[in-house]
Amino acid sequence: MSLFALDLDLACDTAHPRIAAASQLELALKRLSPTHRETIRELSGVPRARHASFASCLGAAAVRGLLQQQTPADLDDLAIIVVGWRHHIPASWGFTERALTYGAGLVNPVQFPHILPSAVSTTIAAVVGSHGPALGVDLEFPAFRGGLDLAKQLIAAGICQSAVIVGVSDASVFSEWAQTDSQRWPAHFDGAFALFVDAPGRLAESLNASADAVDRLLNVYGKLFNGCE
Amino acid sequence: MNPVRIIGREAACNLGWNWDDVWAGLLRGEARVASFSSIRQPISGLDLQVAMIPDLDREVLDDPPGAGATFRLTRAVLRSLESGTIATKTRLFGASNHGESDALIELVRAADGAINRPHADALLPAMASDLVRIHAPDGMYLGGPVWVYSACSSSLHALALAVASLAEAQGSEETALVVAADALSPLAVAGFYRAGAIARRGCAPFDPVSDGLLIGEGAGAIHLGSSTGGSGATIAGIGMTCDAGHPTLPDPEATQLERAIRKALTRANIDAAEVDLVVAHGTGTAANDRAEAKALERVFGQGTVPVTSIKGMVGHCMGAAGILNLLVAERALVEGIAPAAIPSRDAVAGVDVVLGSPRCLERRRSALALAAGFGGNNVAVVLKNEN
Repeated sequence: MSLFALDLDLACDTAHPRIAAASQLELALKRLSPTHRETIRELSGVPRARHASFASCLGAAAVRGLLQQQTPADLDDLAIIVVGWRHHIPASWGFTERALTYGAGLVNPVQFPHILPSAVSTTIAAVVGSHGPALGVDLEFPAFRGGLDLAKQLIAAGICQSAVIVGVSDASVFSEWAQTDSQRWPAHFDGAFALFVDAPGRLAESLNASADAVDRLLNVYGKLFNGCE
Repeated sequence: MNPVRIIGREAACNLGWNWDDVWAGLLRGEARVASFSSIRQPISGLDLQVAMIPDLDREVLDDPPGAGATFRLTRAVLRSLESGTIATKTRLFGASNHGESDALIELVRAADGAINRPHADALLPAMASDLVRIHAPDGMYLGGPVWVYSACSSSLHALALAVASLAEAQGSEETALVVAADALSPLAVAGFYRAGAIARRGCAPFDPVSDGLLIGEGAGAIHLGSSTGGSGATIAGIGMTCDAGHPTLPDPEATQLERAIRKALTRANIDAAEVDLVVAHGTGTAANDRAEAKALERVFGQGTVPVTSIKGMVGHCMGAAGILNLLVAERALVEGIAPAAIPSRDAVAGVDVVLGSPRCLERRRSALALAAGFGGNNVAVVLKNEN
């Protein structure tokens, strides 16, 4: 199980190829260095990544790793569900400061879409080429499990055929402040985690088949991304 | 797909604080606009026309922390429904484009020392969704609210999640309430202004000379149930796709929008010929309207179905835009009349736009409501008239 031994690689869990993460070595609860953040931006495949939120780059990196084996047809009805919604704050903060200081005429239009809470999910969709809905979803605790439930409902209702649920944590100063302030999670960690779901029945089957990964997902990442249980 | 019945609805925007007033204003073709610089706001260079609610309180308050205009809009439509149709066993689904962005502006100003706000930190967790959690009375709603962010398609995505939730709860007495709101945000206005998307000559959806959108503000709420009752309109099919292309512009060929419409029709088990009205996203930008017209022409044929847009009157209400379109589609089916896409004078090729004055519908079997958002999200919802 290589889930937490990533060393900045875009890693798939070898025991369970439908779980992937982009993270820092040994789940060290540390921030990525500026150099490492640049590396993640480059690896993410996000166009004009410097203007995107870092959370978008982390999420895209994780989901790219997860979907390497998927064909374009597999992506036609694949939903991207990003849990939590404050990922946009670092980008919004810079945009707001510039607007307040220089006025509307000097804000950067390229940065504009990234100030929205929905930017992480749609950026991921653009990178991987998925054509199902791309949503940011805010839920009560634990959000990752809530995201799984929503995905199951959408698939069961026939609204989409598969989904990737993404948890992402950007420990930049504004995000850390935001997350800690809202007591959602200890935001001292840069990372993203993604899980592929393709049918309600098979979800349960796949979770049972990889109990170790699921334990880590819900017990460790659940706390990281969604606050205390 | 099992039909879901609409059992309550409410709306607020520049045309009024309740849905009946808004609908009456739409039929009259009102377009109440004002300069954004007429209200006190901290970003310079925004002397632009917007569809503003004149008596909306825009102060960011500390009780509850961070409560601003978006919260007040959300609360207004929720309270109206809560005093009417809401019973127990209701799940709440919310939607917004930018949430309480004025709270973020207050935070930045406080951090920069521009204003004195001793407990500014408290504003942040109170933005939008948390505020509604504070508002929601204990025991009124099942579980915590689910809050959806997909830019201007947010409310119809929230609707889809509500419908999926009801499908899972089929056989129970559970209902779902979808609420969406966005107040005018100086950040959004600045962003659209710099993107060159705001109309200089007046927003005229589907008009070949329209040069941009009119930004608005508003809220909408819809109460859904799977049992009998309500007005007679049901949500019969939903299709959702994503262009997965440009961060702000729609795919000019509208391939995924067409897919979303066809999926909604298939799930509603109807042919395109059975659709008697389309309430389009119709922003008034050339990029959106031409792409949308292409998709509609491919699905329905050239000029065979009336198409309207309300954004020339109420403006683009961002996260609430989709649910307002849905309410218009439902009311048009029930009353047999569609508001015009005022002030459009002419229409791009391929679509039969309702121009000039409202049009009586020859038939009212079903209607299609559309919404699209930044990042390429498309949502299509088919409503059936069960009367």
